[in-house]
Amino acid sequence: MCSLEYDTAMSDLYQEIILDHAQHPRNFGVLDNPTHTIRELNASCGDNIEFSFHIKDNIIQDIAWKGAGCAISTASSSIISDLIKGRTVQYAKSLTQHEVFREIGVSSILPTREKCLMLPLRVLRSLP
Amino acid sequence: MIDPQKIRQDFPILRRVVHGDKPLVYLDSAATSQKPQAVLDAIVQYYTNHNANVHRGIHVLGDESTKMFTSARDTIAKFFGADSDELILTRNTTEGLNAVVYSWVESHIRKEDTILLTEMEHHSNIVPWQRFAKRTGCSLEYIRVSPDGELDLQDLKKKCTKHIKLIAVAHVSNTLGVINPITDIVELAHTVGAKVVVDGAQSAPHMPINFHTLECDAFAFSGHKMLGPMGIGGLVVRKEMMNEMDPFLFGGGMIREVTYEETTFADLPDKFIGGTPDVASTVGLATACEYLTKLGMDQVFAHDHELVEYALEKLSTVDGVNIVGPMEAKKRCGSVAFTYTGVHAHDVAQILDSEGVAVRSGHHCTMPLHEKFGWIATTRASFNVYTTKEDIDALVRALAKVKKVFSRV
Ligand SMILES: Cc1ncc(COP(=O)(O)O)c(C=O)c1O
Repeated sequence: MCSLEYDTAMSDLYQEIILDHAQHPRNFGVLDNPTHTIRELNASCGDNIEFSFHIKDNIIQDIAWKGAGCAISTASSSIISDLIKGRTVQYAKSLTQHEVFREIGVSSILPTREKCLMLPLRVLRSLP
Repeated sequence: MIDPQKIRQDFPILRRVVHGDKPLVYLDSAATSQKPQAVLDAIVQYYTNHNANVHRGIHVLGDESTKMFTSARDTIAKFFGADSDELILTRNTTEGLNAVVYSWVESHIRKEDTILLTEMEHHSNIVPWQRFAKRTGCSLEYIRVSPDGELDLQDLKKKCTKHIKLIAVAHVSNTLGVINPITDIVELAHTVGAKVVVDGAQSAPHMPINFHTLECDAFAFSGHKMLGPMGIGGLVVRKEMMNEMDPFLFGGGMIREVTYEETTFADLPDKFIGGTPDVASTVGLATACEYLTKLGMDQVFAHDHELVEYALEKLSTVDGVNIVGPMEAKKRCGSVAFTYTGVHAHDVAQILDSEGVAVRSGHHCTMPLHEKFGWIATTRASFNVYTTKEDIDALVRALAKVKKVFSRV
């Protein structure tokens, strides 16, 4: 990768929005009465997240997540949890990497960090 | 003392700059080492002038290639203080450890037996045994690692009973950096009749190894971590154990006679060379062994010790850094890993990389050990003959940027 591209990718990675979500994650915790709980692991870094959902009438009424991960997986989980709260299960399941890019405001991700960003999306794919 | 500045001239990749104008500071040698020009030349030279299959074609190139292959095998065996017939070439340490399972353990360990490992093993030295245990119902036990990151020898004594048929242990831990007392372990193991298999992935690059005085029964290593190419490594096995081993890769090259019904196998070492071997990489690894021998493994070890001591000293002064493993340099080899308070290891590594400093982050294939100590992930700086104290200084400087980035919000 040429250096110009790389530097953009690097500063993209640790821009305000990611650092903000990483240090003040939204919807962090567990729900009291979840209808669904899903765990995912990023085997390359040991990141471990658990999402709990309260789903009624096909709508994600409430959501919480917890886990210990890098800034990227934490920010991604935080942003996605905000994004899908109150939306349909289908919407959550159909979210793509590109939509996450758009939400975060980056145009690409370094190949070695893609798994971190995608971790919460893998959770959503396992929704019923 | 070896002069790393002079050695660096032999490693063309160390002249690279990254991210525009930053000199590469390569502190990820435990994952794979860089290769000296001599090794690169040996590989190109082999393919340019001598390439032919071994033990097959009766022609000039076939003879040259076979001769180069045989002599490279001899050089590699000698590097480890072993006889040529005691060396099985593999792709890497992982394949060497798996070879022990398929060639010996399958026919020698039964349901009522126990295999003893340690809590600090690399996945490569856990999963093959675990799969075997699941398949056959034999037991697996783990020697405890003490809170300060050393093998608990009392626990070893307690667990080393007559049920133990095999102990598999890392010579040097790739996470804790600790050197395990192989000769003590072997002495104890042999009193109960257990074999000792050593994972030498992290010791072979740095320590003088004499397979015969180490007295273990088998020793696995990876060429790519000791200045050699990827795709070649080996398993050194004592004659008595070798005689009890069956081949695990069947096919061409390793046979004496084949009929439609039956096969008899070739003698050592061909018996364990199923199919066409990676001759160029074998030649490359032999060249790496010669390179290291010329430096002198005692000198290489002394150089590593100096770096470990320096890294422990410098890193322990950095705010937020918590070193894992013993704090005494003489107990360690090859690397220093740490956690950084409040910042995940992947983020640490990413920011270090933006300053040209290459380290490893994650669980380094020791997930159970990370889980035991409650580390989510660690960052590891690791060394080789070309590493300088300036590299460690660069790491310490780059760590200041981690703090800067993460205190922005
Ligand atoms: C202690 C230890 N054992 C085994 C291995 C596996 O080596 P390879 O991937 O070359 O098979 C490694 C390498 O990461 C290691 O550090």
